[in-house]
Parts: sequence; structure tokens; C-alpha cells
Amino acid sequence: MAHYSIWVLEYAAVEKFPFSVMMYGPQHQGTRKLPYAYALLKGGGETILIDTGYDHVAYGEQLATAYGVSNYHGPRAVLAECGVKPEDVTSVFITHAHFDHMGAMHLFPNAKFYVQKSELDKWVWALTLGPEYRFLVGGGDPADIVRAVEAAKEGRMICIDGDQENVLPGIDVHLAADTHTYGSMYVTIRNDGTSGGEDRWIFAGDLIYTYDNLTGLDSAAPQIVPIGLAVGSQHNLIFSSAEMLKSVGGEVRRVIPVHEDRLRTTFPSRLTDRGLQVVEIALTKGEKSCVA
Amino acid sequence: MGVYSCVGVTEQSLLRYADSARDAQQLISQTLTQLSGYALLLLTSPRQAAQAEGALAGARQSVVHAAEAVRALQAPEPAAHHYHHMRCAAETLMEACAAATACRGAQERSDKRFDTLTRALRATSDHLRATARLLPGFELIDFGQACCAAHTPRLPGQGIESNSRKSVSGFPSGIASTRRWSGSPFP
Repeated sequence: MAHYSIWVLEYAAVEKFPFSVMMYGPQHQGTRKLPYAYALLKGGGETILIDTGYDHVAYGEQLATAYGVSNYHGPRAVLAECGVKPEDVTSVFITHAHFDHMGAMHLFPNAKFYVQKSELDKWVWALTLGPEYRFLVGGGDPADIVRAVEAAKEGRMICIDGDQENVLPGIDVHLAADTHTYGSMYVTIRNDGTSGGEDRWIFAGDLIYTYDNLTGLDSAAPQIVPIGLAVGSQHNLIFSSAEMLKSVGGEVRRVIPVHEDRLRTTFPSRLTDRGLQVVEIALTKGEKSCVA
Repeated sequence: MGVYSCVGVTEQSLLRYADSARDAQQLISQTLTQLSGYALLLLTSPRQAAQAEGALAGARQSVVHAAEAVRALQAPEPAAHHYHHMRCAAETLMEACAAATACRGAQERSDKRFDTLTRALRATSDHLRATARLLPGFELIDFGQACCAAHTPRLPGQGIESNSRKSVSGFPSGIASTRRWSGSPFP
């Protein structure tokens, strides 16, 4: 029986995103839709997010006009599809410090935030380098570190140093050092509560953008192909992907890339009136479906 | 500067202001980040804060340089509002630096000194954001290399492109080029 109900909630999208960024190598192979999304978990008295999304007020117009990010909706509207308010959120796991994953901490006033210590440490360090090093901090918002300080002041910022089991019941975090970012982490939900159980889901952050990163494009010769953007190494991305895949017994669909548009066809899903996808991964006993 | 030409604003004084102010804004932003990192370390890993003492000293110097750079700006009338926020950002950054220094030795996050520090950091961040909103070319996030936005060529002047070109011409003699990851958030 599932301990947590799990949904992936789209909050914006880039309709035409180059496939070559989602996957290292295949140039000139067109575009795919890239949803922006976060995961919502409910269970055991906890309401949990994996990543926060970003705050459109701060730089949404810039993103929309210059980079084609469309159909942004804030967490109040997005979470309402599952009957949740931002104030209800008790915990947030931040997979990495990019604006679209960490840029809305201030919108969850009652949440505790869990992030890898090395992600913040090295990001802060890199942000103090000169502009010629800006590749290392691309997508990082200096205002987010101030928000992290404010959360820490309130005792709501928890820095994790490496792997940790049962951060919350049945939820483990794993450091994927020097991969997409310095201290990216992925989150394992052991949804049957056991250590060796099969009902595991992994939220990969941006360690993968698409299932194709885990399988390659040639079904006759599967391979792990890393994403096309990393401050760390492709080597580390490949081995992190292998670890995630091994952890779920090779069942690719259980390693969730929130930027994967095909989640909506892999799992039960619903298109909301706002044109956003709600994807339902798991339901606890008695929990009402949000996609029916 | 191209973006100013694009929108038809050609007044040389505004261009000169923007060019100089961008450097000052960059320095304020970097120092704010450094002070925020120090504050985060104090609040989450106080035992490691001693590692960052050198960085705090460096931040103090940067704060002074930033204040001097802002004072030296000559803001034409169209940039008066922008300059106001630049000046306020430099002032609150100085307050943040003083507050961070005062927080050394603070044991509890409930210590009032942390209140002063977080207020000053927040104020600086808000003023910086205002500078980014008021004139093009002052954006604080480089979306051009962001994973989810790395797909569209930027317009001239977006992000920190125009400023960074100038900086790159000085590379590798700049301070930044000598910095290496040292196991703490500070070089």
C-alpha cells in the first residue's frame, strides 16, 4: 500500500526546446516540449514538494519574451488542482539551486527546505567569481541565497551533507556531486516503507531531462546518454543515472524526470483548464484521484 | 550598450552611466552573495564559520569599493530613479557587512543580531532587483546558460553579456581568475 500519494504538476513550459540540450550529442534533431514542473507528495500528515518552481513576478516577463517560457501559473493555482495550498506545504526537497527549482522558496511560508550543503556552498563560491565564469552559475539567482538565509534564520533551511536515509519517513536523498550542478541531489520515495521493497520512485531533478537519457535512442542497443548541460562531468552524470536505474531494478519509468513531456502518457494524467498537465504517479488508500 | 541604441535612447550620459553602474551593480551583487553565504554558514554550520573569516574581510573591502563606485557615478536625469536604488543598495550592503561582522560569535539564530543582518541582506537584494527592473542590461540572472533557457539567442545587452565582454578582455589578470574551490563557500 502506498505511503504517499504522488503527483507531478506542470506550472509552465517551453513549447520548442532543442533536443540537443536535453540529451548530449544529437544535434539538429529538432525540438521537444519541455514542461516546467514540481512533484507533490501527500501522506503521513506531510505535504511535500520536490522543488519549488520559480516566481513569475521576479523575472517571468524576461523569461517569457526572451526564452519562450509560456503558460506560467503560480503554486496557488497549480497546487489547487490537488486541493493543496502553498501554506499547507510542510517540506520541500530542493534538487538543485537553479531558478526554476529553487526560485519560489518565499511562496511556501511554513515549509522546511532540504538542500545539499555542497550545492549552496559551491554555488555561493561560484557566484562570487567574475562574469567570465558565469557559465558556472547560469540559472542561479542571487536573491535565492538571501531567501535561503531568511529561511535559515527561521530554522527552516536544512543543509544535508551527502546521502541520508529517512529524511522523512520512507524518503531518502542522495548526493550526485559535480553533475548537472555542484551538489545536485535525487530523492528516493520508498513508497511501501521498506528498505528493499520494489515500490520505489526516484525524482531525478535535472540529472535527466527525459527517459531517453536512461535508454538512449536506439532500442536495440540501450545506453545511458547524459543531458547536454553540466557544470560537473558527463562521467558523473552517467554513473548517477546508472545508480538511479539500479535502485529501481532497471524499471525506467520509476526514475522520474519532471521535464519529460511523456510523463503524461506514461502515467494517468489530466490537462487542466489552464492547459497544465497533472500527472498521477501513486495514490494512497482513500486518496481521491486528481486526474479522474 | 546595444540595447540602449535599440530602444532609441542615445544620450551619451546615460550610456556612460549604464556602463559604469553595471560594474558597480555587479560588485554589489557579488558581495551580497558572499555576505549571504557567510550568514548561511553562521546559521546552518556555525562551527565552520571560522573558515570564512578571510572572506568576510574581503567582503568589507568590496563594500567600500562598491560605495566608492556608486558615489562616483554621474546619473543623468533619466537614470535618477535607478541611481537612487544603486545608492540604497550600496548603503544597505554596508549595513549588512557591519551586521555580519557583529554576528560573529552569535550562538542562536534567535539572536537579534541575525535580524539586523537578514533585514539588511533583504533590503540590498530588493534594491538590486529594482536596478535590474529599471534599466535593461542590469539583469541579475544569466538565463543564457540556464538549463531550461539555454536555447534562445539573447538580444544584445541581455543578461550580463555587455559587461562581461569587457571583463573577459581583462582575463586572466582579474582577481576571479585566481580563485579556486577550497572546500568552503569562500575563496
